Amino acid sequence: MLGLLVSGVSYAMWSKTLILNGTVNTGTLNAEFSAAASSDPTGTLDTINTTSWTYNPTTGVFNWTGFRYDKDVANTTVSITTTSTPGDTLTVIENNTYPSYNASVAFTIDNLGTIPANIYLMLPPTITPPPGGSTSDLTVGLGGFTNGTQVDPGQYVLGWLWIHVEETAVQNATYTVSATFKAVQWNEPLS
Amino acid sequence: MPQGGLDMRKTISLFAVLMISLLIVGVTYAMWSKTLYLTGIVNTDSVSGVFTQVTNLDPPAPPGGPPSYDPIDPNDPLYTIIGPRELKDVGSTNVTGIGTDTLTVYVNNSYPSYYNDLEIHYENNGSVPVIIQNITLTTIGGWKIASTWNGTDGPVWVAAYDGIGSQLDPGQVKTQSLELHVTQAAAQNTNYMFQVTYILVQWNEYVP
Repeated sequence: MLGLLVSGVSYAMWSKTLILNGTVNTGTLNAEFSAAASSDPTGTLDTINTTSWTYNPTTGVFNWTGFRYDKDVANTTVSITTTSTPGDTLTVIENNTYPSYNASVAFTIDNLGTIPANIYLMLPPTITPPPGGSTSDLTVGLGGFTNGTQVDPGQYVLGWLWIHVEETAVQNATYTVSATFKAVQWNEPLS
Repeated sequence: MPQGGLDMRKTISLFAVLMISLLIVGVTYAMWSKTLYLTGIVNTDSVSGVFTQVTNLDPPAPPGGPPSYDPIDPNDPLYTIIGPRELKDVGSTNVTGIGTDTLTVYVNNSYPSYYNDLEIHYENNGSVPVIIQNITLTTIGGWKIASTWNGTDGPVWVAAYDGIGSQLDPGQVKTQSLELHVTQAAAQNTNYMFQVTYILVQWNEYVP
C-alpha cells in the first residue's frame, strides 16, 4: 500500500501551470453624413455662383459666401437618410430651376467610429438626364476635400456639391445626380 | 549449641553475600552501553513559476503623454515602406498580472492589420528545477485562430512560440514571444479571447 501511495505521488508529479489570458478587442469603422445645408433654401434669393463654404462644428452652422440674384425663383433642399446598408444617403432636390441657376449644398462626413478612416470618392458626380436631355445640360462639381482625406475618430471633413443648370437644359424635367463616397480604414488600401 | 548449625548459617550468609556481589557486578556490566539516535527530516521544496516581466511594443499612451504609435507586422509590406510603426496611435495592448501566475493581455480598439509582439518573461521562483512540459494555445468562444499572419480563415493570428523541453533552474528566467495580428476576417466591435498555458514540471519527471 505504501508502495502504491508512493507510486501515486510520483505519478502526480509536481508541476506548475502559468496562464496567459488574452483578449483582442476590435474597434469600429463608421462614417456618416452628419450635417448638411443648402445655399438656396426655400425663401431665399437664388444663388448665382459658388465660392466656398465654412462650417462651425460647435454651433453646427454652415456659412456660404457668394452672390445672389434679386429673385427667389428656385430653391434647393438637402436631407440625410442614415442607414447601415447600403449606407447613408444625401438627397439634394432642386425645384423650379432654370438656365444659369447655380446652387450648392455643403455636407460633413463625420468619423463616428474608433478607427481612423480615409474618405474616397468612389463614384464621381454622375448625371442621369431626362428623355431628350443630355449630361451636358448640367455642370456638376465637388469641392471641399481631396480624395482620400484622412479623418480621425471624432473628426469630420467638409465637402460641397454644386450644380449649374446650362442653357441646353430641358424644361419641366428631372435630372438626377449621383455620387458615392466610401470610408476605408486608414491603413488599408482602397479595394 | 551444636557446631553443625553454626556452619550452616555461615554458609547461607556467604552465599547471600556472593549473590548480592554478583548482582552488583551484573548491574555495572549492563550500564556500559551507548544509544545512537538518527533523526530524519525530509524537507520538500516547491515547483513554482511566476510571470516577471512583459516587453510590450504598444502599451496605452499615458494621459497627456506622447502617443504610442501602433506596431506594424514585419511581414506586412507596409513595414518596408514606412517602418516599424504606423503613424497613428489607434489600438493598444494592456498587460496586467506581473508577479503572479496569471497574466492578462487585453488588446483594445484593434483593427485589421493591428499587430503586437509581446515578450513574455517567466521565472522559476521555486527551488526545484523545472522543464517546460507543454504550451497550449486555445481560444475561448469557439473562434478559430488564423493559420497565417494574414490568413482569412480566422479573425486573429496568435503565435505562442515553442519552448517545450527547455529547463529552468531555480531563479532562471525564460523569455518567449507571443505575437498577434488581427486579420481581414475580424469583425468590428468584437472581443476575441484566448488562453495560453505554460506547464512546468519538475525536471526529473519531464516526459519528452
